[in-house]
Amino acid sequence: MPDTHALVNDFLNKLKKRKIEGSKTTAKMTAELLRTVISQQRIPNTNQAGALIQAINAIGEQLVSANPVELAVGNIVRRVLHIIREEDLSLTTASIGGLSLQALSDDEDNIDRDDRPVLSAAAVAAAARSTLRPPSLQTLLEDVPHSAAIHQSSSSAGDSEEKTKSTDKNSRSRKLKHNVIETVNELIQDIATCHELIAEQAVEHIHHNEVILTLGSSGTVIEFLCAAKEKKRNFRVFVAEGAPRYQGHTLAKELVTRGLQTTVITDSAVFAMISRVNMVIVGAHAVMANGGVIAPVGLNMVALAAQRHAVPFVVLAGIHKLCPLYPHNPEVLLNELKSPSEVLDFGELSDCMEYSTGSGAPLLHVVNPAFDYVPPKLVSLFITDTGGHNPSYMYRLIADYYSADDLVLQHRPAVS
Amino acid sequence: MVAKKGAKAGGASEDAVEDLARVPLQAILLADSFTTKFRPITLECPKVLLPLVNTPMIDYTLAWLESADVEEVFVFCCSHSKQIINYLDKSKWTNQPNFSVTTIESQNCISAGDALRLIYERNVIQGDFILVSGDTVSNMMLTQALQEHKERRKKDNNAVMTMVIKQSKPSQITRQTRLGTDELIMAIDPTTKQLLYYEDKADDSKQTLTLDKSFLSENPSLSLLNDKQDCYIDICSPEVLSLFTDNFDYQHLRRHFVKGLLVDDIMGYKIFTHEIHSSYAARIDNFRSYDSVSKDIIQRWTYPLVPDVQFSINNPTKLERHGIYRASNITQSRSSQVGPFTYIGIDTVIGNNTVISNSVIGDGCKIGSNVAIDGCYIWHNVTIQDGCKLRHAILCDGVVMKPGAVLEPGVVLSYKVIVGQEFVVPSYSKVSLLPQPVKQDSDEELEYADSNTEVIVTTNPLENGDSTNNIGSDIGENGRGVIWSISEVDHEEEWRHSVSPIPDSKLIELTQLVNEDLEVLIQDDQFLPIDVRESDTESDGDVRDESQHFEKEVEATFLRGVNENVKEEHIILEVNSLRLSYNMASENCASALFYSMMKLALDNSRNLGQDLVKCTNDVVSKWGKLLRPYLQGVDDEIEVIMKFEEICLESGKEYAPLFVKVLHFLYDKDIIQEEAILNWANEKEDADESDKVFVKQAEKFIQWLNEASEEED
Amino acid sequence: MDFQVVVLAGGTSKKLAPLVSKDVPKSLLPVANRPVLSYVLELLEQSNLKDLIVVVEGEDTDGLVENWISEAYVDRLHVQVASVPEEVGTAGALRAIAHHLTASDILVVSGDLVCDISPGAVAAAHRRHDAVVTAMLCSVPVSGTQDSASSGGKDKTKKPGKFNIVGLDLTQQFLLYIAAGIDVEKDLRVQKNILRAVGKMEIRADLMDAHLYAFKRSVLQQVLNQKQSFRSLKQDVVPYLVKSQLRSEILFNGGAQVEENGNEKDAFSNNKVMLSQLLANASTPSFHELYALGPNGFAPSERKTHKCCVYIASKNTYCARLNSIQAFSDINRDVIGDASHLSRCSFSVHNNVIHPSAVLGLKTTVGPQCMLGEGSQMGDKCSVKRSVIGRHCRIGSNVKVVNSVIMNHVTIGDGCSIQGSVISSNVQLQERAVLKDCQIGAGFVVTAGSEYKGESLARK
Repeated sequence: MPDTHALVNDFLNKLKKRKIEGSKTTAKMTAELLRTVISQQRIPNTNQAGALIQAINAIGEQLVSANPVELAVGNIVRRVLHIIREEDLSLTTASIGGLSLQALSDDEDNIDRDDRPVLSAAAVAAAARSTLRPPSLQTLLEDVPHSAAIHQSSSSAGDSEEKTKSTDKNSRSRKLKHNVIETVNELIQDIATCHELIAEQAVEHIHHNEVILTLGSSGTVIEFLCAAKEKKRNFRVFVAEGAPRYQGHTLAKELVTRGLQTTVITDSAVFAMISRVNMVIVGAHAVMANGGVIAPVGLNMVALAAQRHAVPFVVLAGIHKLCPLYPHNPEVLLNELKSPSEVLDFGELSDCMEYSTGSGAPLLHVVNPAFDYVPPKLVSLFITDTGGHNPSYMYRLIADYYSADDLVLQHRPAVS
Repeated sequence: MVAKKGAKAGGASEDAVEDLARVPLQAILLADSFTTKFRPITLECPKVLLPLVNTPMIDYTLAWLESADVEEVFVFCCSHSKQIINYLDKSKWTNQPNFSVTTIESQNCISAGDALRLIYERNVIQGDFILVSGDTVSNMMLTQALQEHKERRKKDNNAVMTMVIKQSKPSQITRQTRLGTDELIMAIDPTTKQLLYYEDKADDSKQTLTLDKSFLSENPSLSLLNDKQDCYIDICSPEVLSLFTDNFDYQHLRRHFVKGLLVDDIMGYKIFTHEIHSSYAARIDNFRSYDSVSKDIIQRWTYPLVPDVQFSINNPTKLERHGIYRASNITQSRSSQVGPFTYIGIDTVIGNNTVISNSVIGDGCKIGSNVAIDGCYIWHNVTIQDGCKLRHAILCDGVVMKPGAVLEPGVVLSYKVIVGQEFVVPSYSKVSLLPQPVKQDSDEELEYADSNTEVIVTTNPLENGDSTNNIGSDIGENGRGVIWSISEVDHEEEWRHSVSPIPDSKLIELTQLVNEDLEVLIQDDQFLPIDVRESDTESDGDVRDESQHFEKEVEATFLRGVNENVKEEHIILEVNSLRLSYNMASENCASALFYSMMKLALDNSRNLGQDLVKCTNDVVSKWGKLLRPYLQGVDDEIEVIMKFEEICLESGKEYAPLFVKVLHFLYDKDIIQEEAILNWANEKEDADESDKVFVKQAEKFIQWLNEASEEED
Repeated sequence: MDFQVVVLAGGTSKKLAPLVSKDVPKSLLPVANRPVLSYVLELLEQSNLKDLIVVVEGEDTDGLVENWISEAYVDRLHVQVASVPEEVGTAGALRAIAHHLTASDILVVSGDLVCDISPGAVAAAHRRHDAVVTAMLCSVPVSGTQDSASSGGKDKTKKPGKFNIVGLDLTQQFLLYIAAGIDVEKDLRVQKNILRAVGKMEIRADLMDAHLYAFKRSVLQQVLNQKQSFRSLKQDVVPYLVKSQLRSEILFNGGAQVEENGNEKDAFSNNKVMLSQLLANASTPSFHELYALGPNGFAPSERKTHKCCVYIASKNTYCARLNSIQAFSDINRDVIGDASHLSRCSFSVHNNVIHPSAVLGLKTTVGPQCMLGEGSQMGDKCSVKRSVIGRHCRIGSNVKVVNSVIMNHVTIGDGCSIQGSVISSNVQLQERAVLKDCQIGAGFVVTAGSEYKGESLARK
């Protein structure tokens, strides 16, 4: 598929060159890319899901390695993989749903054990999921058919498989693909609308005559605040300018044009101001599985200040920001050092950077990290498009969206 | 094959035009610096492929051009062109969407000027283009500069070029920038940002720089800049190429082209500057800048062109604290310390108790135990055995250092050199397997050597065969490589352009030097008026002999033209270029040409013994056209007549009697209008008798002319 | 403040002939019926500089100046009139009166300066930077630049004609290069090391040296003694100081030295701090310290620098020097016209000044921007436009005076017409004389009916 290839390469370049700003756009573009990939993907007769998963995996690996810091990419890839598995599963169940179901009492373990060889990748995935995943609404709903499926396939594996294949393989393959694309579209929809979904909840959190503090600029936050404003809440917003990129300034402009009472303060003034603040509302770059937040630089300070003064610290995050990984040494590994020239003008410093004298070792080092890591204990509440959540609940939310065996995106021989 | 590619690129550009409805943004990338600064390395590998923090320089340039929305890049490669082309073919650059890289190959170009002339002949450039060399590292966005350039073009068609400059104060003492380039003095119009004066290569003999007063006549104020650095990124209009073709003596972009345009007020071409502040731009011109730029990259000033962003090659690199970059799969002993600001490439092995700081270490290097490395640039697959000490050195691919070898600051080891056990390489020495090419030209701008290095390379092995044994002593027992001898001239400069910092002793010495300069300055200041007067006399003195030179040159050109019967327009072209280089007016050309014609005729008549008049007629009728372009006005023609007088008086007495004849003949050939003659006569009216000889001679003729004109009236 | 002011009143300048003469030295030429010198003196008085030395060229004229000053300013200023021989030049004059100079800083003003820029400001700037010399520059109207009668020839040498070419640093407070436009024949020579020190130099041709300098006395006298060849402050002394500012041979004695050394010492002890300061703000401490400091403190400690500063007057101030006939009439016109605040007279509703004791005939009109001195009488049907008429002039009937300056005790017969001319005191114009663009020396008699155009007439 040359055209998809070209597309992928193009996207890769963009990621590498750091041409794409903001996790939302990244997520959207990734999803769209993957959609086209899926639609282009030719499906073999056997084990379509496996093939799809493999294809997505391959691309996903590249995408993630292109810019490991932009977690949204990985998230979306994993989401899509998850979708594929789910769809495949539901298809399997549907295809053999007609057959009589029985013996719910069979304990899954031994079935898993002795049936593994003949099971399709999907089934394995399902099984794995069912074991790995904590029970959630979705799973509860699915449990019945799914266990049945496994049992059924176990009881009369061979013929049933052949039958299904022989009867409606092509129809099914088309169906699978079709469904997957359908759901991916929904996903894209969700990403697009997550702002609104989050904003709808604004009224419940922002009340009259409150003072809200935020730092840097986040589309979600703007929508959130404005939503509250439209609901006739009147309140003040403190905007910390968010050095060195000063996106706070643009945010402030935006808010004022939308008619909000806005005060711009320097980042260093946050602690002084925080005592007058009722709530801190910020956006995030990514939310890790442990409820920690990768956020624009400076937020950790804000969070600490908030904690010190017992001000609720609320983080707005669309689903595409939920990352199933657990952060390890996030300050370094999940961070990106931008160009120092955002902080200082190179020309002014040119004679400080004179390597031709002295020992030749640079005396001046300007560091400009892009992100902060806010540990979960500093976060009071996450507001996602599915509602407000406690940091400690994040891992379950994440488990709904991602399947456990996609956590590491890398080439591995597909099962069977 | 190149041509085919060109065609393809053309096609690509065509449809680009269609869907973008504009000329694609093009760039010319000179993948040859035409210098010998990076010898001996450049004898074996083209400069643009030298790794800079483990990535070839050209990748930085290409990545930047791509991210700056350049659509077509023409890579001009001359020395080692094969290597470059192969590299590019393998690299991802050749198959990028909407970013086409086309190579233009040449073997005989010896300067940037030649390169541009060649490109002009290919006529691949459609509109404004970016001119950079393949060793430029930058992350600037071109859009604004381009915008300014285009707007200026709209207003004034003569604004042919925009130079990108950046603030960077040269050192008071060494008088060079942090990039090791000579200090640069520019005069810029603060309002229009037009470049009025450009002086690199400042000669320290002159304590004052002299500006033409006329700069101040256009605008009341101009700013003299000494704290700017030339990024060697030029936004040019197509005219630039044609200019190079017209003036085929332009070789160097700055020294000839820019200065040429600045002095030449006939064409009135203008150069403007664009200063960048936050973004980074630098050119790697010598080892010093190689060092500085590498450090800048490691300190991420060039973001996003930094090692952990894979802009060209896929080697995932992680940035850790203290600015340490690690590629994958490194084996490092626990006891070793990797200091700050260091890059370590893939599969590199580092032994016990080894200390590394401020260094770049490439892929697949093997570094033994108890090695001390500070400020070194170690390329791929280098082996450094136990107990070696390296400070501020460059080690090319495949270098081997036997145990206990030591590199003093500023050493450069070229490819596959082997340093013997316990051997101490003295500082600033350059070691290579290839013998030092005999210096054929002191002007380092022209490098012929690289084109014929292929020969050397082929003869390389047998050379080593005999070299190893006698060279062994040169670089320690069972070492391989020749330590190049450094001529006195260079030796003075070695410390300037090397990766190692300047030793303090040197600095102090220099400081004293600066003071002495000042002393001197004050001394001659006391007799300033005298000094000024002297300079004047001397100046108009050299004006005089300049004009003489000019005449000689023109005559030579003319005679060559006659003998090899070159086309007129070519002669005219050459004379034009002479005029510009000598900064003469057109009438000078006219008189000079005329003079040479007369001389020719005279010689002919002497040699062939023919009648002088006849010869003159022949010559004039044959070559008279040459004078046309220079005889724009009556004054020019009068000039010619005067010249003729001169001839008659001095060089060719033979002409004296024939003055009128020839004059009349010139008139017939309407090389000289009658009014010119009449004016000349009038001018002569109040001259003293000696001067009026010829007027008297021509009296009749003039009378006749007068009557003729009256009849017309 | 401890400033001593030297007013160089000059003598009988050749340029102003025939207006000036033995009995009317340049400094006493009337501008709006006041000697030009008074403008300077009152300017100084305003900024409370009352300790003056007025230097006059030539013995015979100083009597006049002295008398005039003593009668006009007897109790207001402490003035001391010294006379120096002719043609010693400004520097020579200062040499001659060196023994009078005691204060630590000297303010040197040219006596023919007519401006409203407070010398106090210059002095303040001088003190602020602890400079060796501070020059006052005032911006000239751009229109003034294009007259090039003197420096004819090609366009090249045309425009930046008689004004100074100065080099300033970015902050426009240090003088890096100075040359008079006329001296620079083809190209200006700027010192590289100064440029290196400052990095960015701005060269301007639209500034005029108002010839108002503040010097550090010690340095000034040093230079004057060392360089006996120097004749003029403007052409020799100031340029020399500017040139040598980074490497001054002048041994400072007094406050300056301590200052400088202090700078260098601490600079040396912790030059890193210094550097960071420099980075923080390019202007303070000045590039001199930076230079004295040298990159990474490699400069030797004996390096000495001194500062040459400038005070640039803002555009809307008036500043002119009465050093040519043209200038004389211009200044007169301006002082009663655009720059009327200089002549501290109260203008009438018609925007002119007519002394109450002046007598006007019937149908005589005195237009706006005119001045009529006390005791002057005019006949009938006269008309005066943009002109100054001195004291006790007798003017007949049907006289037209346009764009002219008429000094005191001038008698003008009937039917004369005077245009763009300058008429010195005690001149007598007989009937129907017609003058256009003429200068008439004192006591000259213009015969009846004679016509002159663009001539300068003086008594033989």
